[in-house]
Formats: sequence, structure tokens, C-alpha cells
Amino acid sequence: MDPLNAFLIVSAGLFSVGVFGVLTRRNAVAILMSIELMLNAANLNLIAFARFGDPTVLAGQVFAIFVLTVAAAEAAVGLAIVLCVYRNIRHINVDDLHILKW
Amino acid sequence: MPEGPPGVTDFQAIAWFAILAILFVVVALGLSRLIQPHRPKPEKLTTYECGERPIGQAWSQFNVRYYIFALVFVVFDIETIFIYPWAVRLRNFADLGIGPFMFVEMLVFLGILVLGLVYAWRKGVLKWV
Amino acid sequence: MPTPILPSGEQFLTILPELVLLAGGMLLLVVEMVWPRNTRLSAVVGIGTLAAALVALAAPWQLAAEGGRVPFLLNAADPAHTNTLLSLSGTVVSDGLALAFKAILLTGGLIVMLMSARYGERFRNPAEFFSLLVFATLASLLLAGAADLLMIYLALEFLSISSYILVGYLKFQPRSTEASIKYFLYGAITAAVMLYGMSLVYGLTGTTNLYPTAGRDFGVQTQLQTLLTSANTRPAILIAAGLILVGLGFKTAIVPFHQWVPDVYDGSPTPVMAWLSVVSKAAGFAALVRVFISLFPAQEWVGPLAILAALTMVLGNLAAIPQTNIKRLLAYSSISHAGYVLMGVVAWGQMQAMGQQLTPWHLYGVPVYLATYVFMNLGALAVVLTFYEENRTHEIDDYAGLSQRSPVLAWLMVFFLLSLAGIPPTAGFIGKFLLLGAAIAAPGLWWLAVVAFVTTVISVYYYWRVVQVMFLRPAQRPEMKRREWGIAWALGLAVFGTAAIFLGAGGFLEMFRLHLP
Repeated sequence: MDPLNAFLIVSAGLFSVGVFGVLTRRNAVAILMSIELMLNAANLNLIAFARFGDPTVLAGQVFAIFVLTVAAAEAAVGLAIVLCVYRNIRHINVDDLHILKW
Repeated sequence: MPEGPPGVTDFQAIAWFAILAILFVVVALGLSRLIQPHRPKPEKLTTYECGERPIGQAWSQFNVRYYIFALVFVVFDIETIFIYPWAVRLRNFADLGIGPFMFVEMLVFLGILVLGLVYAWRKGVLKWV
Repeated sequence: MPTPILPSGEQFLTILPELVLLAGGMLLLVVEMVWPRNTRLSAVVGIGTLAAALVALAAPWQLAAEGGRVPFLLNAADPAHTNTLLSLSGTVVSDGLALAFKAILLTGGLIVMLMSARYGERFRNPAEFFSLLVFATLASLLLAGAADLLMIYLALEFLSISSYILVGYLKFQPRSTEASIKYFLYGAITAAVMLYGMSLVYGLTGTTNLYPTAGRDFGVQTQLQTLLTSANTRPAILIAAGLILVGLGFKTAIVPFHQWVPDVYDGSPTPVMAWLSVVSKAAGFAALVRVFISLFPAQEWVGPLAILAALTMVLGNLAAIPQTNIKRLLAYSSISHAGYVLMGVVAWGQMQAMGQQLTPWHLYGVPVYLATYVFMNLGALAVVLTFYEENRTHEIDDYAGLSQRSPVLAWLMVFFLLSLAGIPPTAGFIGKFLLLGAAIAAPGLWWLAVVAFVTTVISVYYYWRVVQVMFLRPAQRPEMKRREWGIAWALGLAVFGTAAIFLGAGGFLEMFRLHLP
């Protein structure tokens, strides 16, 4: 098998696991973890394309570093928000958030 | 530049490694299970905590304050990601004649991060209340 | 190997407004550290920062104009301009579209800042709130000027992360935190999906830049066009376009990605709702135009996006009818406005797909509409905020008799609602006229114009209901007395902008008459 395809298949699988988690998990923190999986799938794609593409273009690797940073910032803010929600309503189950009508 | 793209052969090596690792664990644990004597006592069945008497459950809740420290740590963790490539390339930048410019740019980046830390500090985030 | 583009100090002039905002946002943090809880001072610093950034916008404008006539949207097949308009390693573009959107975003940010001047009193760290508003506006400017997928992703996430915090800023109110977590989950998921699409585009084209200059003699769009003809790569391109649309559709709140809008707008602090419904949306449209017009080949996306535009208009307007809360009503109305703007983008794409000469209707329809939308929507929300500060309610029924309690507010509300509905003697009419004209002028899109017209008529009904409550029902509470300088200025600016666009429309129309064939 073409080595690039191997990477792409793994990343597509990772992305699907992430999407599945996002759609089925009801705990806000678990959803956050699934989102991280989706971001890592994209990162894997970027790195694989950078590795097997033009070796003088580093855009993919640089992109991946920035994505890591953004993911960390997003997780930090996300956890802070989850904490605020927990303090206010004592649970973080996204199905039971209905002060605002859906 | 390292040698060419990793082909299937590299993955074969990894696969062999994985198989060996699993075999080692299974064989070692299985063998000891087969030959060990089995005399359970309540003392032996408790969780081993370096000889101390275990207190509470392993799934205890952490204090949420740890989270704030983890958050501030993440800032510097991420900062390292950017400083490493920059440090490796700084000599090349200097050769191109833009060394001082790049140096100042990194200082600006660090300055922004430090302002964030100082803000967190002034707001009492780093205090353990 | 192409020679690396060396950065130079001069290039930073192209992002001077952004730098001013960055300095101002950091200054606000210092203000909070040195003079804590000084709402007045921090509001003045925030307003000053945005005003200074608006002035600083002259610098990139001047730089861009040096190279002669600025193209409204940079074309990759136009090497003369790609060299002058791109800066900072090709990540920032300052063509007409970027500069026009930056002006719109800064004006919107300034009005929101004026609106929240007194609102900050209820927070423990008012300067932090203003600083987040400044940073969020900074992110929206970066998004409008982004010419690289990396830059678009970073700016979009910067924008999102600042807005998550702003939405949940009333952190002891369950409504606000609930809105915040809904917004966060939607935003984080859609951004991750968009990132996956971007990684596919990078894999297909080998670059993240929309206008690559080094070592290429053709644009990325041409390359994608060629790849589309191959059965191997065609699905990948379509999937990438769809995935990227998810992220941008979330920001602009077009239909399948709009579910968060009413809840988040309802739960967030009113100035933040104003900011989200105008500045964040406009920035999203800047990126949407940039990505779809100059990256993906138009003939592929015009059809699906036209259907989405029609759905957005119909659903936004129909769902607004039964609303009893003014914030939710304006939330659904903002969804429908996204539909009108998307119609303009689709018309633009259709002209491109047909290979026809672009008319000013197509080029200027989207920015002119968004400019009028900034003034009229922020004006309406400033009235809502003033009303809330005295009466503590957002229910439409409580607006009964506003014409007697505060005739000025009532008439201002009528003015802004008329404009939102697009009734002739207002600025909203000019914007809608342009977009409808663009759709009619584009071949095969007349049905979209019909949908837009019919839904506009529907929108008159629910805007009229608010007017009816204000004027025809008796007042149940005493006269309103509160006066506040920040909101007064915001209302003044909004009226001025709406009027100026309407009065200046004669000039616009003359210009179009001269340019039209």
C-alpha cells in the first residue's frame, strides 16, 4: 500500500472516531476529548502531506504546530466554561441544558 | 534530511516489536501464574500503597484549583513549541541579516505571554486559597 | 528552492489597525491591574482604542492605493497586484474587500463598545471585558485580511475563543454559562471539521496560501479546477469544500449550522449579542467570500449554496414570527439577514461560474448590505439594551406604550426596524435593492430573488408587530428617565450611519448607472 494512503486512512479513522464521540457522548468533557481527536486527525493529515509532498514546503508542519497551540487554548477555555456551568447547575450533561429553550 | 519516506518495511519492524512486546508480557505473567502458590489473606488483597494503610477510593475528586495551575503551565508549555524551532533557525536568520528583527519578534511574543501571566498573578490566580 | 521572503518593518504598516488593537487590548489589562473596577476609565480606553484603529486603517489604505487602482478582490492570476497587496509572507492581503470589511468591523466594534460603556459596571473586571471585546475585534480584522488557510484558521479560532468567554461573561448566571457552553461545543466541533477540510486542501494543492507567489505561475483555483476533472481527486475537493463550509457557516449562521443562534444570543449579555450578530457575522462573511470566490471553483458550489441561502431566508423569517422575546426575534432576524447576504455571494459566484463580467452589483452588494446591517441592527439592539436597563425585561409585550413612555426610543426603534425590513425610505432598502439586483442580474438565479422578496414581505409582518405593541397598546409603566452617554452615542452613530448610507445612495446609484453596460 502507498505509505501516504496508510496515514490518510488512519487519520480518517481517527476523525470518524472523534465525530462518533461528539455525536454520542453526553458529558461535556468527553465531547471535548472527542474534539481533540478530530483536531489530531487533521494534524496527522497535515504532517503526512508535508512529509510526502514537496520537501521544501514546511507549511503543513508549521500548521500542525499552530493547531496544537490553538487546541490547548481551546481546551483551557472550554474547561473553564464547563467549570462555570458545573458551579451553576451542578452537572455537565449536555442533554439536560434547557434553561434556554432549544 | 533523513533517508527516504518510511515504507512498509518500517511498519514491519514496528509490527514485530509490538508482537514481541505482547508475547513477553503474556509469557512472563502466564508462567508465573502457573507456578505460583495461591493462598489469599485479607491483608494480601488490599491495594499496595508503599506499606501504608490505603485511605479512600482511587477515584477521588481532585481539587479544582489544580486546574488553574495546569492552565498557567499550558501557556509555557506551548511557548516552548514556538521557541524551539525559532532557536534552531536563529543562526540562519542572522546569516540572512534579519537576526535582530527575529530576536525582537520573539521578545514581543514573550512579552505578550508574560503580560498574561502577570495579569493572572495580580488577579490572585496563583494564590492557593 | 524559492528565495525566502524577508520580513521588513514596513510590512507591518499593512496591519497597523490590528497592532493598535493589540496594544489597546493589552493596555486595558494593565488598566485593570492598576485601577481595578474603574468602568469609566476602561470604557474610555476601549473606545479610544477602536477609534484609533479606525484612523490607523488609513495606513494600509494608503499603501494599497500607491500601486494605482486597487482590485476589489485580489485575483491570483494578477501577478502585478499580488506582489503589492500581499504582505507578511503572503498571509495578509489588503485588497478592497479586506479593507472595506475592516472598516465595517471596526465601526461595528466601536458602536458595541459605546453600547457597553455602562454595561461594564456589573462585572467584577470591567476592563477585562472591554479587553476581550477589543481582542475579539482584532481577531475579526485578521480574519477579514487573511490570505492563507493557516491565517484563516488561526483568526477564526481567536475570534471564537474570545467570543466563548464573552458569551459566558456573566458567569454567575446559569443562562449565560449555558449559552457559553452551547456556543463553545458548536464552535469547537465546527472548527475541527473545517480544519480537516483545510488539511485536505493542503494535500491537494501543496500549499496553504490562497495566492501563492513563490515558484508558481498559476493560482490555486486554476489548480483545483484541473484536479476537479480527475475522478480521483474530485470527491476530495468537494468534501474539502463542504467541510470548510461547516466552519464558515457556523460563524455566519447560515441554515444547517444556525441552531446555536437563538439560544446563544438570548443567553449572552446584550452587547455581546450585538457583537456576535454583527461583527462576528461580518468577519465570517469576509472569510466565506475569500475562500469560496478565490479558492473553490464557483460552478461546483453555486447550486448547493443557493439552496442554503433560500433555506436560511425562509427558516429565519418563519421562525421569527412566533417569538415573544425581542432578543430571540432579533436572533432569528439575524439568521434571515445572513441568508440575504449569502444570496449576494451566490450571485457573485454565479457570474464567475458563467465567466461573465462582474458588475458593481455583485462586487459591492455584500459589503454595502453588511455596512447597513451594522448600523441598523446595532441601533435596534441599543434600543433593546436601553429598554432593558430600566425595565429588566426582553418580552415584546412589555414594550407596550413605549411611544408614550419614551417617544424618542420608540421612534428610533421604528426607524431601525423599518430599515431591517428594507422598507424604501431607509438604508436597509438600498442594501436589499443591491442584493436583489445582483441575484436578478446573475443568470438562472431569479428564483432566489423571488424567495428573498417573499421572505422580506414576511419579515415586515413580525417587525410590524413590535411597532404595533409600542404604539397601539396603552402604557402600563411610568415614563422612562434613564439617560446614558455611551448608548446615546451608539444610537447617534447608528442613526447617522443608516441615514448617510441612504442619502449617499444617490451617489452609489449614479456610479452603478455609469458602470453598468
